[in-house]
Amino acid sequence: MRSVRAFFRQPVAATAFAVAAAIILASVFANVVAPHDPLAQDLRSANALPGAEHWLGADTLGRDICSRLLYGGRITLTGALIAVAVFVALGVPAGLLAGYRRGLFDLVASRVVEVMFAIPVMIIVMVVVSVFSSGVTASMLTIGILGSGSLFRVVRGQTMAAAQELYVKAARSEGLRARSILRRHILPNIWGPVIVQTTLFSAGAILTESGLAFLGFSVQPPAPSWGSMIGEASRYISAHPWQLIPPGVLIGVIVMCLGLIGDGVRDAVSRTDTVRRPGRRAGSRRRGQAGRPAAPAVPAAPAALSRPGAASPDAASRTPASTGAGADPQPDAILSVRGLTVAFGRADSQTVVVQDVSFDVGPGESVGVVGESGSGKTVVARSVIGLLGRGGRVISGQVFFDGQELTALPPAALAKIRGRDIALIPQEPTTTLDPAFTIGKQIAEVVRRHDRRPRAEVRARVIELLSLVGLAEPETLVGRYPHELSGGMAQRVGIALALAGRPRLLIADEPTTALDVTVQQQILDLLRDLQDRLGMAILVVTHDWGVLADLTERAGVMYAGQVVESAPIEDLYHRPLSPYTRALIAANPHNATKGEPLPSIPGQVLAPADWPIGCHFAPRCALATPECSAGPVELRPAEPGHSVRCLHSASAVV
Amino acid sequence: MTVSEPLVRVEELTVDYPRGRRLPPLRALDRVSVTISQGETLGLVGESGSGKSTLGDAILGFAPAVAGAVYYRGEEILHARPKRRRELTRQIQVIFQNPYGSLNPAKTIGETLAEPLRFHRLAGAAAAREKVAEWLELVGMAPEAMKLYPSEFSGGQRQRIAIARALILEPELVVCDEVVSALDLSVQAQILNLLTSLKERLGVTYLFITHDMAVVEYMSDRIAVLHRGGVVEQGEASRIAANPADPYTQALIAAAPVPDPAVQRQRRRPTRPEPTTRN
Repeated sequence: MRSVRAFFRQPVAATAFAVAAAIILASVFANVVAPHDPLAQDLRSANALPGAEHWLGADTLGRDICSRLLYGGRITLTGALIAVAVFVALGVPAGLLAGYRRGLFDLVASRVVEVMFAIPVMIIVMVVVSVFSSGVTASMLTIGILGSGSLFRVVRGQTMAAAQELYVKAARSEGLRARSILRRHILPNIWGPVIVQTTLFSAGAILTESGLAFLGFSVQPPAPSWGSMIGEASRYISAHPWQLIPPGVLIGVIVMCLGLIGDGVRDAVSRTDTVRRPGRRAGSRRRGQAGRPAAPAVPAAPAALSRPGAASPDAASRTPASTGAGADPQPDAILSVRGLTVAFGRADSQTVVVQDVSFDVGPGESVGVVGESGSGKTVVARSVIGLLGRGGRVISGQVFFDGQELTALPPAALAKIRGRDIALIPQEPTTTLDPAFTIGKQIAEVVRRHDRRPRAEVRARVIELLSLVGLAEPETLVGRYPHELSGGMAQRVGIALALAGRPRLLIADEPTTALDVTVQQQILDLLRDLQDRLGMAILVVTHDWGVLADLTERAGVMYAGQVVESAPIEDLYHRPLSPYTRALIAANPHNATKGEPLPSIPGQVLAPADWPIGCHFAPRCALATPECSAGPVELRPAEPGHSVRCLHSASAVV
Repeated sequence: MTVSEPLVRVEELTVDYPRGRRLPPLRALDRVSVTISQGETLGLVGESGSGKSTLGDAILGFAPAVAGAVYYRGEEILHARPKRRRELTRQIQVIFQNPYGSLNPAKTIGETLAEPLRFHRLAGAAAAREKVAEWLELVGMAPEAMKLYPSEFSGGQRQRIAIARALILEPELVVCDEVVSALDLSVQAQILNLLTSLKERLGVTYLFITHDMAVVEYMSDRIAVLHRGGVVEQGEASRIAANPADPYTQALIAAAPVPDPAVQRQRRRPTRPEPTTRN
């Protein structure tokens, strides 16, 4: 199993497992391993310190401490085992049943567990022990029963979540019975938390057994258990303090080992199993976010230097002679990106996800970046505003906003520009609004951040912003919470937030992907309208050619971290020069002829680590020749305003 | 020509989802009637909340129907006994939207694909392995994939595996619930082509559920448009796409931006939209 391998790959967890296993095995085979009879008294060596005869010394009756620990482990560990067995035998089946079937059983079981939580465990255990007085078994059974409530809750919660998974629905659609579904589909996905709970509980059971033995509620003397040994030793603590140490340390070590094993299991399971999660974004993130370039419009400057030292040798060799790096920004552009190269990961093992991206956005202009997941388009948008997230950094190239270079700015200065001059509309409006605050409060906070004004003026501005984005009755809307909004309204609020600082550049990252098509239309109309009225520039990142056609004037097509083509969108759509652009447009079902196969692109996007040195699209391209893979292919102007990164673009125009 | 019984006949189906004690149940489908003939592809199109996935669920036996009936080859299956329902899973299968959730992350691809065969006792271990390998090749994957876990595949590859899982029992009807909406354009084309070629090969019938008008028009013989739990229009796919009769269908088609910039410019509504009051 992958998780088992992942567990033993962690040195700490593996060591803890080995130590715990050694202690348990030594106790099980105490009759073989122990050097002495645990009950044999040898008054000559009473209170002996560790030595050749008694490795860990001897107690007041001259009994060998080491042997007593080994035999005592049998009692303590058997007790813990009984408790754990009851804990698992009750908690897991009941939790599975309650979580999967719900209904009456769930209701009753949950109430019973709540009552169990209210019972003071130690007192009940003492009552049980005084009634049955049969040593460890009765007390440990009680602890197992009373403790199983917590496992029940964990299993129930995990099962309820797992039962919602599509693969469980798929199993039902295959006709599997509930029993098989629980055993084959749900249990394997929840055993991680179960094991974690069990190790923690077993540590607790050992401690409880020791505590009871210390108080005298366990085995009767002279039989040893770890707790009773501590109890006996504590009586001579001032004269012979050593005798406390071996049992104390042993209990500490095994409890710690169990805790570490629990941690290890949790990490192993989350490393192997949790890497799923839906959709386009998860997929592209795991694959490392190939770049999305924007539209380079400027004829490439003579190959200039990427900043030496900034790029690792690996990155440098993969970066084609940076077309625009170091070039001056276009004077009248509000945003000029030059030779932007972005990498993720540690410096010694970094992966370049965006390579040599250059483009300009003029004031009031609307420019698109289009690409599939893994193309790097979101990374480009995020680099512009310095929000790359952990591990991501610009390793070469520049971003000029209004003539000011942004990549070199300290974070505080960049934060000032962000929101005020450049604003971002997020992809999922509902998840970016804080559910704990009203719409009005959230917008007011941003308004105040940009201009400190009296409360009444801030409120007026909030209402103005809400009307600006076409929301009716803004006065009542300010008191609403995000969950009371539909997706379309939430996106309008997201846009209002972005407009609060009166930005000159709005970055819209898949602004309508999460919305229904009729709502999408309203948002697209709103964005166009706002641009007309406020004269902002807009940088639109999208995978949807319809959104591109509706919103933008020029666009860059990104594939695997590079801009492969950039042009006014009419040229891009009607006369694409790059084979990738042509294939992508052809694959659109809008252009399909019914009954004929859709022209598709064979293969799939390569992960950033596997990008070739030559043309990134060559492995999937019908026109590829050996030259395509020989070395980096540059983005070059094919005609005014139309650049392409392809050696065969001439033959592309048929 | 005789009018034969369609493969599936849904009659006046009403589905309510309970919403706890305080709220009235949510009516997901309201007296919906559709038919699916053997060998055709029926497209179900609508926005979120229209009930299109609920209709697929109802045919699969997953939806809490309160009224109406679903006939499969003339047999009422909405109230079928559990045993009959399990037998029906050989004939009615499903492919889900989210290829990241529909494969059990703790099982290898081989285990996942062999499970329906083993469950229905159609093959022993060796025969199942052979059949799994055969199906992996049919959906364009290497047979070695059976030893790997879902996390090792991309979205498009997982969707191929999910298709193999649904078709390995060679069912008559497959419910395709938003099967390409999580995929990129180029991969979407691959998956749509795969579904089409498998249909030609096996003669399977599809109920193709999607929100994308262009995809549904390309894939379907007939289309039913759902809006707020009801069918507003159904008919030949080409007719609905070219000549929608219902105002909602017209709005749906008009709302989706087309990729041709020149055409889209003509389609744009004048800016300055009406304030929305929808909640």
